[in-house]
Amino acid sequence: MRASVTLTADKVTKFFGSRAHRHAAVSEVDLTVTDVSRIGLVGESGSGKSTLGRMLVGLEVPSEGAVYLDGQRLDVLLRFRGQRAEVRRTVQYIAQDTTSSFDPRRTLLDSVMQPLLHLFGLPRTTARARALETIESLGLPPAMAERYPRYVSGGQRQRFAIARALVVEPKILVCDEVVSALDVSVQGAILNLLKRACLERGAGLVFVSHGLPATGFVCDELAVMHRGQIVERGGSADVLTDPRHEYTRGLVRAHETRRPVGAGTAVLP
Amino acid sequence: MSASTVTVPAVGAPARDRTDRTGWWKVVPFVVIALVAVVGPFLLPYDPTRVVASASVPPGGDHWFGTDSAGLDVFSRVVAATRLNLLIAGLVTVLATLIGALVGILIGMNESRRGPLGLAARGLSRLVDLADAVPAIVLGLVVISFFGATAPTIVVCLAVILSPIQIRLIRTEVLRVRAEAYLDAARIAGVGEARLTFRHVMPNSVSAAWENTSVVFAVSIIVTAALGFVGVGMPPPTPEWGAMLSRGAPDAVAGRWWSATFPAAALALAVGAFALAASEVLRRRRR
Amino acid sequence: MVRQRWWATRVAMLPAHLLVFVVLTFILVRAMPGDPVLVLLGQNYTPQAYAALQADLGLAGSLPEQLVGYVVNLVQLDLGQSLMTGREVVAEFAQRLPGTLELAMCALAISALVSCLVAYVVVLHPRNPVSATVRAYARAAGAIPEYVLAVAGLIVFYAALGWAPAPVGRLDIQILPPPRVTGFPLLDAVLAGNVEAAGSIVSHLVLPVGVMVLAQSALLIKLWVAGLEDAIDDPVTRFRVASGASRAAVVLSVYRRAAPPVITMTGTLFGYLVGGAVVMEGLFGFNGMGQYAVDAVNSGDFIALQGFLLVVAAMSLVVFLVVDIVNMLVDPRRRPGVRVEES
Repeated sequence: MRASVTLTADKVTKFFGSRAHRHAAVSEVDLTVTDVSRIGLVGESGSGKSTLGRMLVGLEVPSEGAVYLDGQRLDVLLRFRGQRAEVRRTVQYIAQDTTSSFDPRRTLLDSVMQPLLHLFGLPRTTARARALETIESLGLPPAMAERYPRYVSGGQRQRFAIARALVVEPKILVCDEVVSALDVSVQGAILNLLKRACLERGAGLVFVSHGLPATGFVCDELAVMHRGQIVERGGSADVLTDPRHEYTRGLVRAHETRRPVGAGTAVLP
Repeated sequence: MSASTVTVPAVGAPARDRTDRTGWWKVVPFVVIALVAVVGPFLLPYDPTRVVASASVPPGGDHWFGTDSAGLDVFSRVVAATRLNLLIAGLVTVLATLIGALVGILIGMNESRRGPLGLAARGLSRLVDLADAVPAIVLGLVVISFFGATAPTIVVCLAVILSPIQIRLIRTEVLRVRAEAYLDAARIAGVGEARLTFRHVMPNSVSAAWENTSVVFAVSIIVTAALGFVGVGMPPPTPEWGAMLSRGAPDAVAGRWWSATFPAAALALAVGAFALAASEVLRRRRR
Repeated sequence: MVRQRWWATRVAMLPAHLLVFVVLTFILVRAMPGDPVLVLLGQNYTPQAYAALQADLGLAGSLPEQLVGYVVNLVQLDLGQSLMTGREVVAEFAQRLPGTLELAMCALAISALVSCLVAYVVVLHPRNPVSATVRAYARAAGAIPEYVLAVAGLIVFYAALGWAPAPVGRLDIQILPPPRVTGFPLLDAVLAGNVEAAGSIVSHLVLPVGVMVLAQSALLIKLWVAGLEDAIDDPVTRFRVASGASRAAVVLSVYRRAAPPVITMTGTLFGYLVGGAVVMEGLFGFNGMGQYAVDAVNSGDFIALQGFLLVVAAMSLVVFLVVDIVNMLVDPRRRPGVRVEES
């Protein structure tokens, strides 16, 4: 398969804090993702993986370096209304926080319809039908979509979040810790759903997570982040079985003591 | 599961329990006072702005609340003043909350930005804090005496003077909402910043200020009457509780208690009744 | 080190904040509808008289020139001359401000004391019937303004019972006022050792101070109660008790941790009390700032009014500065500042 869309981070650096006391959350990271790749970004909290994910979708603008979508600077594209919609149609994002990822004053259906209305300018009825179709395809009862976010469980809310990202049929999907806040029993189901959805729809995936086995299950490639830099990257199996960088070894060992590396496969149906 | 979902009420706030009948009486006093404000002026026994009897007649059959030192009927004036005082306080509350929403959102959305916009927002925020440091009655006294004591000036001046309370509340809420993930989700869904501000940030950040309107209402009744009390309010003989109170005070000191007591009681009742009603309405909304 | 630097910046901000009010009053006066010069001159005037008065009022020249002149005068503590009396506004304030301040300060001190004690009873003896009453009263905080209470107080304690002295000044008429030293009437009487005058002043202060405390201390009580209840439930308290600290030490620690919001509110309360004093002075025949402002309003004396606004603003800013610094001392974690996002 040839990639039709590429999203490239070119030496991106992101500083936080005041000018006097700034620190780099991400420093000089290069990363290329396409619509045929499934890359996992792993690392402990504070390693900069979430910030990198947010920069890939343009929610944060790099302090240095730039992100390019098919060769064009993302921050420039996002400045223009028409191109912004095109970028959003191509790259979608699912946030970590399941409790606040939906506006509490709107029904879940309203939120899922939102990208269709704003990115495609669809009439409400069409948008509604398409949204419900996607919701159903993710195994959610359509009636539940009329509810407000606080009346469904965290796992259900995360499925709606996936639905909201998938309705636009993106080419690349960036997921930030999408299962970390969920019960272990629900995590497997969501991971399966995500992997299958990406395969079926031909979308690339950037999966940001601190859970090594889960990431290994969903992704073909892994990039290990430590203190704002990618310290190791390679095929999932290689990294998990034969980690080269010392930090990765520690990370893999830490998971081994909790449960075997192969446990990731246990979530397969 | 899907059958039960249909019955979930279509509101963002928690479900209202329509069968809850306890506490309804708490709304009654305010409804009565509001009714007096609306229909009272049509049912007055005397013209509230004219001398109708000899001065300082004690309360009795002809003059239920007596007459003041100028021979005006106290009952008619207390009732007639209800409309003016409630109207001013109500308008001030609405306007102050509107200003609060607008300025609070402006500050909250921009204050951590870099560049001139962020600087302006932070400056405005400081200005609001500073204005809030000066007692409202002092600001009101000076500003209203500068611009003239007409009902519209009083309303606008008091609304501006009291708006810092609401601005601060809404700013704090905006800062909270700004950190919520659904704003990022909306951005990703293609919503522009202006629409984001008005469709997502505003509806989710005004509730605290809305709940606080009972406080603003009480404060504006008290400050309006205080202005009348010191003589900066509407010119006499406009019926207004504060002005009646200050004109009645010398009488009261001389032992003719009625011309000050009744407007004072009306003022206290109005504030109390509104606080009671507001607490009940908010209790229902919150559950 | 860092803390001291913060003190310095906070204090250095004061003139800047004052300048904001200076500019604000400057704009307010210029935004007044109508031409004040014409109002003062009346129907018949010569152009020379107009120009002279305009210059006198600081209204001649371009706006920046006017502002500079205004600020220069203020720096020399010149607030201009009152239009109604022709006297220097500053001199007038120097005479009247201490009395008003004394009234507000007495009310503030007593409110602080009363709220501390009452909160202690409410929190530590919740079953006491007094506590229930106080709680209900605190919930209705600020519902009845002090001027209403003052009128009621005069009806009951002066007109009906005859306990309170006549509301015609700070002192009984037959008593000579003590020599002016500080300008604060009560303080001067005490300094002069004049027991008779001091007693008379106190008896005249009881009712106004009483109604102010009654009207405003509920705010403090509410905060104290909430803060103390939180602080008592805190693990820190349990640790103190468990480690065998004396009851007094535990109570002190609880109060210290509950204090910051109350201290902040005390600053706000001072503003309310000054406002209350301004409103009530006329009622009690006190010749203070409030009475002066009311007279200025009635004679359209905008020079006196702008001075009045500035002086009250300056006072409030100083009080807030003190509040900030006291809070810093009680709780060193308090630091101001908006975080700037890097982008």
